[in-house]
Amino acid sequence: MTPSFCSACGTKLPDQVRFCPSCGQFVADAPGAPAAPAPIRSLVPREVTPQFRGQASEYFGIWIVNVLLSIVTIGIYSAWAKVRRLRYFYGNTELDGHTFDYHAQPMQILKGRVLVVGALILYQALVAISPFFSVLLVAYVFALPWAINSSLAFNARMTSYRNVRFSFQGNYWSAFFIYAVFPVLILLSLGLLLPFFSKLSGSYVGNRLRFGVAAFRTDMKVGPLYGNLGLSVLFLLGCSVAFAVLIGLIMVATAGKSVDGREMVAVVPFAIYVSFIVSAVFYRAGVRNVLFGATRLEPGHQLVSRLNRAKMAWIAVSNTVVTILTIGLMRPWAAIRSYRYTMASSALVVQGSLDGIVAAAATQGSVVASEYVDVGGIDLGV
Amino acid sequence: MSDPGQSQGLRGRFFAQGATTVRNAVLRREAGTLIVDLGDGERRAAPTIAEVSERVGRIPVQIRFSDGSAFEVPWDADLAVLGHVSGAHEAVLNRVERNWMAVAAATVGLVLTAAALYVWGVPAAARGLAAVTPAAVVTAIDAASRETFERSILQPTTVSQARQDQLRSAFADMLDKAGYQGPPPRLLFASAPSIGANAFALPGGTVLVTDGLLTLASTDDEILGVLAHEAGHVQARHGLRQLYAALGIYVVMGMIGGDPGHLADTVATQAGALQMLSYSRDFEREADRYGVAAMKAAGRDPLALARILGRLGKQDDSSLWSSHPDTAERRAEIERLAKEP
Repeated sequence: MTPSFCSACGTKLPDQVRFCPSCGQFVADAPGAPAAPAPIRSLVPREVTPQFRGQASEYFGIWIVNVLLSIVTIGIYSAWAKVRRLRYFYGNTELDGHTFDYHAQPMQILKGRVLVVGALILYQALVAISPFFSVLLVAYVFALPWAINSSLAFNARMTSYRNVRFSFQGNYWSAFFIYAVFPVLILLSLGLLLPFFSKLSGSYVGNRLRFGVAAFRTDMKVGPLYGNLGLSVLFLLGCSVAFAVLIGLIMVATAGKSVDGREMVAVVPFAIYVSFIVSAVFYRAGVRNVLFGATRLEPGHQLVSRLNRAKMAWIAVSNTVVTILTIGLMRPWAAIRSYRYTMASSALVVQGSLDGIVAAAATQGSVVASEYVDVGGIDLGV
Repeated sequence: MSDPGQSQGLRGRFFAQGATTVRNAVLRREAGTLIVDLGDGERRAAPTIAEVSERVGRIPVQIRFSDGSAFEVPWDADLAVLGHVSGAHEAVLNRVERNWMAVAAATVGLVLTAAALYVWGVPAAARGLAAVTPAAVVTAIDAASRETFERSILQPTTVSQARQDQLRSAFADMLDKAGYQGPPPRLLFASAPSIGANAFALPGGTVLVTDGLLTLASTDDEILGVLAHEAGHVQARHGLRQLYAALGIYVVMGMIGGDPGHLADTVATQAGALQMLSYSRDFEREADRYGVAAMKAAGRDPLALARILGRLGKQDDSSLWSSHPDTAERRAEIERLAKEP
């Protein structure tokens, strides 16, 4: 180790002291020392787990101010709110001693939002006037791949870790096949091709994302994804039955004596519908596990995801119930809870160190596309 | 370095430009110049400061330099060493968000604002928008929804032309006497087995009556009572107002959600639909009031509406999700209104 000097009085410090022998200044993290935690320069891989330092009570303050100002400014502040929310989550996510950051400018986001919301309202108005304008859907299908690519590029570009940005380089026709054509095939196959979609979509993102010049590499196998689908279907069945029985019991308990048989039957589609949404959470958690397990950051840092699918589903359900019961006031708590669990179940197996990854120039992406994908709630399945 | 007052700098981490290389460093001002001290005697003048990141919660603050390097300090670090730059980034929001009294006040403010929006704001905005929506747009929406209905659930009527003409003229005569002021009414007959005995009003003045309703009615007054009720919906522009209200609720819900949560989004949308139902309960009462007044004005029996309501209610009272207020309650109200002079 090279010698270092006390930052307070300049005395040369012996190795491994915590306080300056001359003036008593705390020097454990003296200048010149590599930033904590000290990278272990060994070839033994070490697993680092993201630590989430956010707290529900603290986030509540940010959230409530966000919502209030958004409503009072008829939505204008929502762009600033989005940046503050993302910076809070990214900035509190610490991986290997360093946090992430989000760099989008609120004014950029506001412009993107105005354009997207304006276009959506115009489209709805046109269709309300005449169904003929549904032909615009054709244009939508062809714009979708561009929107998805630009959105991924923008969001990657706006994310940094250790002062180096992420980037994403899309390909129009690949995205067209995966996000515009393949969903039709899934419908035609009654969902049996869903795992192939998860593989295609995961590989598409996982092979086109970069951290600086370091590329992510994904090699997903479809077998585990089919296993995941099978379990998800079983979960769906179990959920539907349990939920229908629960509603039935509540109806009997509240209506007392005579419950119409037809009313009980009418509950079944509702139970299946809700169970479908919950099972989607279950399935998605499984896909994330498979995707991360098949993804490396070059040269050899392995991603890990160990989400418990049933627990994810439980968190989603209980979060929703609690949020509704508190007319939305527990939303910050719910958001932190699911984010914290997701982070705690993720890891990166570092080979050597994350030092020296060089930043790269990359496409900037489009904020309009990003806001479109955000507002439209498009789910990329990753 | 000998003057301790000056050498006390800002401790943090220095991120080199364009790489993940990080070193502990001290940022300090020496003779008016900002210096990055990397230790080991390695010191350099700090590049121009491009930006100091805003404080959010307790996430680290980054001082970003124009050359792409950055200096990271804890959230509560004293940025006085930066000089005037730090003043420009006074984190007022951060202080508000961290102050429990301010947060409590914001919570109360939000609950009150949301309640006011729900009870007055959205309905008032919907009423205003409905009032200023150009007639051409309303007619177009009307035509589009009629087309959709015709394609999906409606089949040609079996009611004879003579009977149709008779009901149309009775309907027009009644509205005339009642001083109707909405868009010109247009009475349509259709067979729609899937929705049984039913009638509904489209925003532009189209009133659709199913063959089932004509069969269910035992007198013409009962049919006209239902038609008068529907005309009430049209005159008060309930269809449009409901459309706008649903849109408004959706937008407000989106703001409260604020972050993507699949389940919460779905629930928010459902809540928007529920909101529509509770509006329409008020709307039903208003349409009933108009219906009774119109029947009286035309010299017909206002209680006929109450009678056919009773039979409609028996037809499908599995209406857990139905938009119509309790039939019994509505009938009682109609009877009360009918007795009023």
